[in-house]
Amino acid sequence: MKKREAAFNLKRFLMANIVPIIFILLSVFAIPISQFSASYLIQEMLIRLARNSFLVLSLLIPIIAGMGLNFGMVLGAMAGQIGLILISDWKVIGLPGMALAAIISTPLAIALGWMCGAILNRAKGREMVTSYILGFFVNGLYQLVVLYFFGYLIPIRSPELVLSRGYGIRNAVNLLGIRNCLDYCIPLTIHGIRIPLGTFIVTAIFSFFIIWFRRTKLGQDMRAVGQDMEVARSAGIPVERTRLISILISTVLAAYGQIIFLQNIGTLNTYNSHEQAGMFAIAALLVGGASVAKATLPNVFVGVILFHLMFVVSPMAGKYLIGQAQLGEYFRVFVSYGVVALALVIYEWRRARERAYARRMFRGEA
Amino acid sequence: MKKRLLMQIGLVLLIIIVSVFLYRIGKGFQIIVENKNNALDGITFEVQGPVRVIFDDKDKLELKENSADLALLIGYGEHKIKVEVLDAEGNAIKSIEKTFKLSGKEGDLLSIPALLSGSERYIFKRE
Amino acid sequence: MDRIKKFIADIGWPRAIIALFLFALFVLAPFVNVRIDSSISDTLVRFGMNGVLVLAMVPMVQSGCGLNFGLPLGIIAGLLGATISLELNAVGFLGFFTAIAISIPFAVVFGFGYGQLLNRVKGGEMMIATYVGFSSVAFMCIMWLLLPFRNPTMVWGYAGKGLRTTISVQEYWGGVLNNFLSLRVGEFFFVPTGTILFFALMCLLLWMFFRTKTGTAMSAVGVNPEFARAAGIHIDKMRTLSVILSTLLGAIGIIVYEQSFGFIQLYMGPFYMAFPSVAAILLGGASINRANLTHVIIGTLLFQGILTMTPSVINSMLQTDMSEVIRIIVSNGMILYALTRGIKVKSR
Repeated sequence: MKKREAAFNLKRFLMANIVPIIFILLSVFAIPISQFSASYLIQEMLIRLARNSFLVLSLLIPIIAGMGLNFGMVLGAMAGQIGLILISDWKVIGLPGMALAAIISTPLAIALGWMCGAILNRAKGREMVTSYILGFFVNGLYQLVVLYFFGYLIPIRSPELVLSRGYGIRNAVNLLGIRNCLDYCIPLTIHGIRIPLGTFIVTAIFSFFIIWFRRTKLGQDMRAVGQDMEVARSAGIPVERTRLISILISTVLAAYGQIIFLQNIGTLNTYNSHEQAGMFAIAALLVGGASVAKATLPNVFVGVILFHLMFVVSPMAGKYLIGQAQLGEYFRVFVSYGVVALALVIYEWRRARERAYARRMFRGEA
Repeated sequence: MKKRLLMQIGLVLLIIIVSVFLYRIGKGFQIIVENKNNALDGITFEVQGPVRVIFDDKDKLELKENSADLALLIGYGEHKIKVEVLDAEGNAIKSIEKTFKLSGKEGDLLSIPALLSGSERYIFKRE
Repeated sequence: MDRIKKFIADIGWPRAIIALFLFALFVLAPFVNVRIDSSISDTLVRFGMNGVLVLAMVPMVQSGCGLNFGLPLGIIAGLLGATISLELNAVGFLGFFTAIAISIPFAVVFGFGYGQLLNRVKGGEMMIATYVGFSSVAFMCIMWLLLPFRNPTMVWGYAGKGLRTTISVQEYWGGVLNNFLSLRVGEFFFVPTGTILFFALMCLLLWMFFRTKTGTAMSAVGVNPEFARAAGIHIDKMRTLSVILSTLLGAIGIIVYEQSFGFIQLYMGPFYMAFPSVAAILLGGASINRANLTHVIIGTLLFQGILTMTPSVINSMLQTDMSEVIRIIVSNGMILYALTRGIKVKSR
């Protein structure tokens, strides 16, 4: 028995980390073809790391609690965006503006996260699909509010935010007032590369928060619920409440993450910015080697770098390799979805095998 | 139980106070800075030349004679303004510093000639 | 009163509300200058257009594989059939059936692979189906650019390589079913008899299939896999068969859709196409592991009715275009409701 386990080690390592390995190979192959310079790539990666890490961090807690990939993080993103729309309307600038947006979006994110958690509790075993559809559903509600109620039922003072018909927010909201305000609030430039120190510090603080959280009673409860709901329940842990709280925290963090993301980009695409937020964050996490059942901090950062590296490099690589940049774009989309599909398949396959194994053990075989 | 409720109310109040504070220090206002002849109560303040205007030691504006521009000021409180009248080469020949408060609405008008003449009223608030 | 309550509880509140909503829209229509005859006509056309795609959900639900979010895979098979039939310059009815015929082998192959995959991931089929669907659409995007099509109506003008995003089928087999034996009363009322007959034919075939030994075996697997296995049924084989059937119906469905719509939509077109079909069948009363033909017919009728009536009536009433948003809320709300309803009889 022991010998088999030792021989398994390399195979196990490859299996567990197959996705990041594939990505590293792809990048090694594609970077020289794309003809990007190292300093450009480093600067891009630093920016993207700062921009996206927080959003990916928000996915960790539901995974610990056994809820799988929280596709419902778009709910948090939408809450954050509503906060940003309001502070843009009130013309609050700079860090105070960003902080105010975060404060405004928090109660909204809590409400949405609560709803999401409650719905997911009624769909045990199917959390991922449900949160995925819930994302679309709330997107519909968001559009209803932002496209019809804002400017009509909800007063908007700045006419430049409103569509020409008199109500509804425009497709693009200018966020120049808070652009890069967190990133470069502490200026630091090394070798001509600007470092978004402010955002890194905030992200680091939240990383430590997550590490600390894992050690609290609530964190341990979530771990227990994630491993086995029934065992946790018999141990006296309020399973439903714990699951709900995990989604709630995730949604609020997603709201902040989206605000950080948008302050870096500088423009809010009112009806599009949040849609990709969930997709890319989840893909990045999976690329970093996380699975549906297990995700660690290194997964977050490695994942963001690898995923965005591929993202930046593929269109150009596609152009030089086959002659069409469009191909690189589609390749990038394919890889984003493919990697999630791959991770899901590996996870479910293992789960099915474990169940079959447990069944055989139960029957007294093997 | 009661203590917890009190703490929660206290927390909410704290957040509201912080929010109001953030709003007041962060809100941006656009003002029109004008370097044109300005007639007020029968007295006409004349343009004294091209000027360089510095707000709060941060934002610089250069205005030729008879021109105007927009400036963005942040925060509800007092703002500092330093006006330097320039000669042909761009050196400052005269410099005045003042502090002022805004009306809290968009589109106040700040008249440079009025300020330079030492008039008390150089900010014209939007009605 | 109690009987009404029980009736509504059986149907489910969301469905009852949506049916009432649709009825209200029809009642409102004449008051806001929307013609009832053209509305009914539009609904019928859309019903025929989407019917087979919704039918594609049934095999997989019955066999316990869940809702087929991976319908894009079948759609891609259909797209390949359609584009190749155009490349061969096939027109009219012959063209239509050529498209179907060509898509069949693709659908079987895709369905087989897809089914094998799903068999290894029992329990997580729906999520994986979604992403397999997405990945294949994205993959085909690359293929549409590279495959050697030559027909000038299909490829980009100057380069001569790579298919266009939208390709018209008007000159080929557009409308062949719609116009077959069609009824036209006045300017506004049009019944696409051919399409509806074809849909009825597909329903009949599926109904007959489920009465065969294989069909009943398939349903048994969905109800209770353990009992089915004890009865000697090969579960995995049945599941794979259901996936192949579903993919096949998806392929046929998209070709029916295209002949009615008039265009072939490539690249990201099929991306979200599973969702309306899923919503429709759930609206018709299906659950995650039970679906029959009544669900398909009622669901498609209700869903397409809402999609047709809401824009016209609400736009006339409020002078605004809320249709897209309402469609999103209704269709996803339906799916959510079904997902949170809980499973009926299923042993793990």
